[in-house]
Amino acid sequence: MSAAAVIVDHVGKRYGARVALADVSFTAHGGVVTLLGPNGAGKSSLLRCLATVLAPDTGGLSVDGLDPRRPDQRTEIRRRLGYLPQDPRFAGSATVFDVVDYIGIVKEHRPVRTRHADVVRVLRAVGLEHHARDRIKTLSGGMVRRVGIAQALLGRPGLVVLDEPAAGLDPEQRLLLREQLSQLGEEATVILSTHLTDEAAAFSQHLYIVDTGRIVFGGPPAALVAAARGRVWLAAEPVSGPGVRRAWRTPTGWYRAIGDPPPGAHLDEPTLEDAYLLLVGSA
Amino acid sequence: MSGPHLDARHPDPGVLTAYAGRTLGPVAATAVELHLQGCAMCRDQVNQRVSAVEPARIENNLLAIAAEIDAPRHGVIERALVRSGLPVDTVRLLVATPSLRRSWFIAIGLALCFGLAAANPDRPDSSLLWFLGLAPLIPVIGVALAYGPGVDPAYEITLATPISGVRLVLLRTTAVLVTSIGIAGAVTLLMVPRHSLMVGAWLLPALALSIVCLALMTVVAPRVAAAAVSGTWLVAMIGCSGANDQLVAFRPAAQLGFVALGAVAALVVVARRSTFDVGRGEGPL
Repeated sequence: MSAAAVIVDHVGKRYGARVALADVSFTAHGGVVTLLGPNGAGKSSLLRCLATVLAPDTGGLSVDGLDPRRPDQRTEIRRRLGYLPQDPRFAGSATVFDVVDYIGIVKEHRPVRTRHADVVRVLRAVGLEHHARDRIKTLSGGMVRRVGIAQALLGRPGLVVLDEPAAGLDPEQRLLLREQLSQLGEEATVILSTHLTDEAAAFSQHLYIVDTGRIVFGGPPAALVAAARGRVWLAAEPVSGPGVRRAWRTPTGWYRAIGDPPPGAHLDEPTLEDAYLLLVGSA
Repeated sequence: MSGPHLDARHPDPGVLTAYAGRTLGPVAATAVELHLQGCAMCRDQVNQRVSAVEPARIENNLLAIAAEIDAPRHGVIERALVRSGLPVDTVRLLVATPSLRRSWFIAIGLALCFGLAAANPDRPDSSLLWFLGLAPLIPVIGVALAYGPGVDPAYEITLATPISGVRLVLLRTTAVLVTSIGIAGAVTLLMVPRHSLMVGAWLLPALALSIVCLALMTVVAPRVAAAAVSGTWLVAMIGCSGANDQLVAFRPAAQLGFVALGAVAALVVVARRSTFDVGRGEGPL
């Protein structure tokens, strides 16, 4: 299946009085797009709208020109979709193979032999081929998440929506995930979320920063870092002041500050985390 | 597909591709082989295609073999359902019903034993009311536990797939009704000698209340729907216990009322079936 064209157009969502998404717009067509933001920023709500399990209150979105508000078109979008929710859960007594096969059934993948071969393929992709007969309740949290990623890859969907795919994975598995996402981005549109800046830079070349329900930055990580140049400082003593947005002690004993120059500090090269904190702090 | 040319003309590229991929019919394949014997250029074309197709086919075959090995053997009930003629995929959907697990059956058994234990031989109407009042709630609770957020672990993932939500709900509801009514029905048969056929009067209320629960599930969460239906029913039963005829809710006139109630609720389910295809917007599922 070819990469899906995704358009998010002024999407808004409220939970009672709380605004989860406020006028969010972006487009994606192929490649890996990362939504980066703090907990509660609205990333999961946005991904759930994209996965057609949550309807926006305002605005709209489309996948390959299909509108999820129309039942027939929503079903067609779901045929092109692989989705990992934030907290993937499966019946504890079922085996890994059965769980993924079950998702293949509800995705209408037939015939059985082809679907079973696809189950093996996706389990191999996440390194769970030797755990096919294990019961879900015997797996660690990271392994359950890998089962969740595996089911999202069934049928080679054109749109893959992954909510915090790296949560709970060990470093080796994160590396494997990066490779998979890189390959996946060549044939599908992958939209994922994370709240960790190093993951965001490692996973994709294009990121959107979401804060309090709004997209406050969109572009490559390098552009975000460049925007923070001239606003990151190192000092030998604790720093404070009205223009200092954030300051913290580093493991080397120096004090790092972002914002206006504190007294006695010298300029330092910004990292993605610096740039992110500068941006999120000002939202 | 048109067959290859049998004369000196070269087969179409599509025919050569089909031959290399072993998807050509036997007669057409023989004709291509006759041509290849005398045509080095077409042999070369076929070789190129085979080298492109073979690795993918070998990989697919290996995956299929691994799937045969990895696919777990399924339980007795599942195998029996498949042998009875139900499609394999439908059986998989049924056995994944959360409320068809061992704990559910144990709960049914305990509930009915409780009902039987509460039966007072000195007051047959009262003891029968215990049973008739309790039995319809078993499928209602089972239906509420068959599908939905907080009950089905894979609910949100399933919601994002193309399967029709109402189809899944009805499949699971059917499975719950069959098992619940089957078990309660077996207990009913044990009670027939003491209470006559009146003991089976819970069946229509059970069906009607289950459908009402489904109808409410199009508006509120399944557990809320089950609580509302069960609560209303229990209040009605308490009211009946103080009436002159304690079994008034199970007499023929009331049974007709349950048929009507079930029919109206079924219409609501049909009219609002699309609500099973979208998540509720009140917050995280």
